[in-house]
Amino acid sequence: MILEAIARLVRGSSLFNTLNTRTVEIFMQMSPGNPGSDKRGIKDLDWQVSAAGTVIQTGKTTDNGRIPMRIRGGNSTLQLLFSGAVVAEYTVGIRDTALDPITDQRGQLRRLRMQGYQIGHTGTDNIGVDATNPPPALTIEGDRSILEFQSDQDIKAIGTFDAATNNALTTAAGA
Amino acid sequence: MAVSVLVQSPQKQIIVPVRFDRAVRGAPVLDAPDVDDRGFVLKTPGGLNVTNARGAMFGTTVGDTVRVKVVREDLDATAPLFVTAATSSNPQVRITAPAGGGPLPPDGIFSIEALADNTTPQKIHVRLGSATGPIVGEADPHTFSLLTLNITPHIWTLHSASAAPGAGTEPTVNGAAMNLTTLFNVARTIWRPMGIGFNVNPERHDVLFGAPVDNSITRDNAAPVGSDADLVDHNFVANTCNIHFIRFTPGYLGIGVRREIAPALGFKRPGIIIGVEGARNTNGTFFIRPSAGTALEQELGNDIAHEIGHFLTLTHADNQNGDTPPPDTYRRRQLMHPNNLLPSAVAGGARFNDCGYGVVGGNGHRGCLLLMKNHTTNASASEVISTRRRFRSPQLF
Repeated sequence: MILEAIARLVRGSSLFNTLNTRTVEIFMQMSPGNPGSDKRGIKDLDWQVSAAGTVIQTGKTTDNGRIPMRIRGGNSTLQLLFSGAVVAEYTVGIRDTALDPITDQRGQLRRLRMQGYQIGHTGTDNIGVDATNPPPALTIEGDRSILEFQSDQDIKAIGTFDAATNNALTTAAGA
Repeated sequence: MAVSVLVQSPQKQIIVPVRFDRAVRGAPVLDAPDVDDRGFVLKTPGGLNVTNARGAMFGTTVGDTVRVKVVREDLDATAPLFVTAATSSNPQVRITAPAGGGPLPPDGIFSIEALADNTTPQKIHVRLGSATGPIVGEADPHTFSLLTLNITPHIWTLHSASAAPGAGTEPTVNGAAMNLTTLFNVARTIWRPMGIGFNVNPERHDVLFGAPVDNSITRDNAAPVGSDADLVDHNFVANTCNIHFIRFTPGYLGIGVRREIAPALGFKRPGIIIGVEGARNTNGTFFIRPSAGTALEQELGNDIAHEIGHFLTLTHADNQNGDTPPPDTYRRRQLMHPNNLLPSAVAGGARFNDCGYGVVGGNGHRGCLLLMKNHTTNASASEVISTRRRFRSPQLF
């Protein structure tokens, strides 16, 4: 999370500032996971952020693919541009609820998603995580993502969340 | 339509827009190779050119044009994408469709021509907006010169009688005489991405008297007449892979024996035996292959390709045999999974019946993936290297 600079009100003002803008870090990458010495960020990507129909940020990615994105209200829209035209959009919100435990399938999937694994777009939030309890059977994308994560981490790819996988996933996701 | 993203506070969010995939689903197709997308890290085996790409790896044979798919997993379906081959002084591949590399059609399929087998690595890039736009995804193609395996097919009539006329009959497929061209075309399709092809000699129609029963043989290390270990010695054609088609194999549906393994099994020669119609169980009952039509042809062609894999030194996926078949999707996708058809997901602990190659009667077809990546946590890895090196071995036949 990145704090945003807020202008002070004039001395003696009876008004107040409402902090309703937060900044999150989005990393556009060619492959999932935290980079090591390799360059997996998407470079030279023109982007802009819109909220309530107004462009509030613009930028171009460097070789880490990082976009410090401002979220106003419930969500903002990240737009990728090419030659000035919008070619792709992401509706980005923030989830403040505590991360589900690593032993819970929802927590496992959320961590895979945080790392960029492509777990599909099922569920009420359309991010591949179904919040129902007990969780439904894994989708093809969820199954594939576990196997990919295990392979990338040099863990035997068995497609189930064993202790080694959960430990590696916790470390990779930072939580 | 915008892609939804929910950033878990206070963490960061990584977005990976695209991935590479096989261009088709269902039965294997000659110009649509499976891609080794087991993880994004390449883990390139020794013997292959090394790039720093992170993505899928796939193989092609010099002169072939194949189709591969870019999937917009976390990107708008309408985002304009282009595919380019990295600039190279010694190119292995070039993009042939769409012209100019894009924009890719809605299905994401592009065509790539394999130009030369050389030691200069070359990546494939997916770009946003134009052929010079930002690179949003990478793949690692490998072009192979064609290695050809000479094959002699034997179609057997097995009689229990000791002399003519006998009551055995030749194996049939879908109630008709075997069409080996159809079956070997399936096997060719599977092996082509590894740069391995087959020269199938004219089929032999062989007859054996003295089998234990009509139309079948026994599994016997002592190699008496009428056993598998003995059958491979009959009408052996040197310097070829002899493949024996019989109606019912003993307890297994197929066996592929390379020269080094033959003595341990009592086999007098290396070779392959396929039970075209099924297997004879040890209690004397028969297991009949349940599929029919093109599904049966796919199954038999896959079995031929699988046993050729054994003949070329491959073990079962992760060294797990049919008594403990691996249930995960990766290994069910492998040609060297021990079972065909695959055990049902419910009974076998797998998540899905279909591993991408279709389902017949509730059971998935075994996959056709031959491994390129070298995952050291998997007991069988980088099959492309071991099979291609086998062609240089004096033990090949």
